[in-house]
Amino acid sequence: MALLRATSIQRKLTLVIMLVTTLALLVAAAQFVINDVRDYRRRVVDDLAILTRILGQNVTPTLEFDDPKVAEQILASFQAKPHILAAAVYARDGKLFARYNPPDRPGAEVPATAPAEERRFSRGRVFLCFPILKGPDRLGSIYLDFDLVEVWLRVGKNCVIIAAMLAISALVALFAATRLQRFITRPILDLANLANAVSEKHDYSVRAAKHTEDEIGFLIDCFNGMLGQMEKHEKILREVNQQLARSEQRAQAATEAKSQFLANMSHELRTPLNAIIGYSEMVEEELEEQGHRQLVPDLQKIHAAAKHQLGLINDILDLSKIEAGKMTLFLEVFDLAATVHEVVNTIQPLVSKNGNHLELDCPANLGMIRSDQTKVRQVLFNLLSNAAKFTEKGTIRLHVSRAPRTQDQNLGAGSQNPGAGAAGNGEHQPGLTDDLLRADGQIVFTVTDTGIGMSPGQLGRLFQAFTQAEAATTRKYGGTGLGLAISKKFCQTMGGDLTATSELGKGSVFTVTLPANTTEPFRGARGGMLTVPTALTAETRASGSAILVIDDEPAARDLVQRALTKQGYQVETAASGPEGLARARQLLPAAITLDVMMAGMDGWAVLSALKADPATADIPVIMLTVVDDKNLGFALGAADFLIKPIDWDRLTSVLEKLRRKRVSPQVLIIEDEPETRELLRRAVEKQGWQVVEAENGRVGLERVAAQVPGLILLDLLMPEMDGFAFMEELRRRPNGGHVPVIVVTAKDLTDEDRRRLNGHVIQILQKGGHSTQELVDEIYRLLASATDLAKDI
Amino acid sequence: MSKILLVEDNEMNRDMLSRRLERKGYSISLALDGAEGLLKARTEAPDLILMDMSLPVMDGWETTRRLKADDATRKIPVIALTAHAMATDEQKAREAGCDDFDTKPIELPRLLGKIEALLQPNAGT
Repeated sequence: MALLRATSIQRKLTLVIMLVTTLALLVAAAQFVINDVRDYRRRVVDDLAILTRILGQNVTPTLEFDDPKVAEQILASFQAKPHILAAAVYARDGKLFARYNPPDRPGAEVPATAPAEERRFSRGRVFLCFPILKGPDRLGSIYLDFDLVEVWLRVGKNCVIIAAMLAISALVALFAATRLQRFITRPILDLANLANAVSEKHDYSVRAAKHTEDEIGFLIDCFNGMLGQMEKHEKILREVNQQLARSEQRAQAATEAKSQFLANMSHELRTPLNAIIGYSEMVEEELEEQGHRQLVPDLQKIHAAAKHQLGLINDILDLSKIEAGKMTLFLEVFDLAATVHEVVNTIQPLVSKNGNHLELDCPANLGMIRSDQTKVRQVLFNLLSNAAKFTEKGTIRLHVSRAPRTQDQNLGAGSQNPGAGAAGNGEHQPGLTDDLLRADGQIVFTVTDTGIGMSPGQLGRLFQAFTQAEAATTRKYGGTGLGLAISKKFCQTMGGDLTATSELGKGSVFTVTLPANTTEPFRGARGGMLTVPTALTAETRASGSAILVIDDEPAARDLVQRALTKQGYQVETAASGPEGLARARQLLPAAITLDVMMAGMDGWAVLSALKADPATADIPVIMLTVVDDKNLGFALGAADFLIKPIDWDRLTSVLEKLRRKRVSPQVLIIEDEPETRELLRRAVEKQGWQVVEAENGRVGLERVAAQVPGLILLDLLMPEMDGFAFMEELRRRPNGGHVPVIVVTAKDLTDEDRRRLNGHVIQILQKGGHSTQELVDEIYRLLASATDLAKDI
Repeated sequence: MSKILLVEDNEMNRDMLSRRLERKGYSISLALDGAEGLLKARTEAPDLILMDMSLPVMDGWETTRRLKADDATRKIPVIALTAHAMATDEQKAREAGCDDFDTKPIELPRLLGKIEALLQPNAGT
């Protein structure tokens, strides 16, 4: 059935025509045959009846004269007619008088007495019986048994002929059908093909050709009509899309214009106020000086009003920005505790003004967080100043803590869940790196006051813009009514939230939660997909010996190890300074990566020790720190380190190695201590090199810009621009990237020095040190150049 | 008496700041735009420069860069004064070479503190 459904209409139509034709032919044939047979039979029987009657008359005398023998002779003339099975004459009394059976065949039995005078059809035979009459007298009857086989033979013959005729007719019909069906199907097929083409090419401009005025023609008209509609719709759609694009452009332009307006207004609105604030301050100062104290309060009122207005403008502009979706986050890594203390110090006068007492509960090891420092300050300031304003002779308590990440945090915009985080499972030695950036967790600030509190109704309206507790509140307490709305929006933008509880007359509690690591979606490769400049690895890998990784942070150790192993290096690790030193002496590795921020014996101390020991002094050391295994690291891109007091032999050997490399004959010495600089200059010049000097990083950069030296001797701790900043900047310049830098640093670092060094590292991290990707690239590069340098001796 | 060069195009700001600083004992020299600031820095060798960032002719950043690139004026400390308080502004100022940074509206005590810090002779490395 499915097959039938799937055949082409051409075939179907042909099939239908054939079916109908054949059916018609069959019916006609059947009727003809039936009619013919009936006709024939009647004739045969009629002929037979006449024959029988004639013979009946012929046997009349035999009956009169009772001569059966002659009757039989006469009956014998039935021989001439084939298919007569039996014949008989019966006398008047019904008794059998004479009989006949065909001579060459069995024939049939005749009835013993005369049967009824009738024509009877039975068993494929016809039985005739007629009376024999002479005038009015009935002398007897004559009986005949005839086989109608003849008729059936004729039927058979007819059927064969008919079948043959049918076949021929069918063939002719098929031929005609196949040809003629095209008139019907061709337009339909054409339409179908056209529809297919339109559907595939989406070209609505085509039209079907109409050849007939029948239903197909009508269908074609409708189809063309539809195409026309689609064409029209498509045009409209195109136009609408164009309009939308234009509208979007206009909307975009409008938004930009609005932002521009905001920015301009911001400046325009503040400028006159600055003048009012400034001059009123100034006049106040002048008056105080000249002793006209009585005018001062009036000026202070002007001053206060202007400041208030400035606050309003700032708040309104902030809110507009937030609402325009234009509030951007400036994310940086900063010391949370320091910021908290800053705000507390700033708010202290306001707190004291109402006789309040501020308690600060802020642990010292809060560490660094990555967030928008300005906004965090603003929110804290807002909450504390509210607390101070609405509390009199009471207590305000600020509690800051770090908490592990909760599910809710993932819902905020701008917060990232780096999954594995600091990969620490099992042992986790706390170190400075640990504090620096914990990938998970959130910060919670709680500001509690014993002030006037709020009713449930007031609490409900709390974060709405321009709704202070009630109208009277603004008059009594001042403020703009925008602060909390803005603070809450800030918190939410940073991926956290601001909530409040309160009891009327007893006090209020405001709670801020912020993610500790607010980040943009991570754009670089995720951990594990570390690519490497392949050109560098072949050589260094071929050196065969191991790289020693010294780091007290398991996660960092793991990261560096994995990265190096992946590229075919053999890696050994050490988890502390002393262990690192021991292994270094043991292994004499091809290079050492050394964590700057280690607890106990820190990186600088290890470095000093390594360089002081002749056995390990020549091993290239890469100072780095990996802060978070996804985000930040820092590498001090030094080719080598010299520890003060300088081992001149070492310096000489380094210079020798470089000379062979045919670098520029100039050495740039960047050192702020004139005496040290002088010493270095003499030592270097003695080896036949040219010397250029710089007393700090900035000057050093200028020198490099003027002419790229073959080597840089760099002191780390300098004013203005120190060694770290210099390195960062140098590597960024196209011609500075390949100059070998030898870092000169003191052997015995004071705590102050250490703090400064580590502070510099943090500073660089704060500015956004290398991502993991960049860090690993840097390690390879340093390894390559360091081992390269070490090779030729 | 320390000499401060104030580079500020806005008349009122200039007026306010110069008078208040003079009252605090500083000798004030004025420049109305970046180019003039550069010139006066070279010719008058002030002890400190207060540089408004948005100036005509040559803006504050470019002026600072040039000051720091010129040996004659390199050592003069520069405090950037800006109306904006974004962290990017601070970074931009420092990148141009500014030694410190303050936001408007000026809070005199705060600014004085910064000026004093930079005017003290360098306490060594």
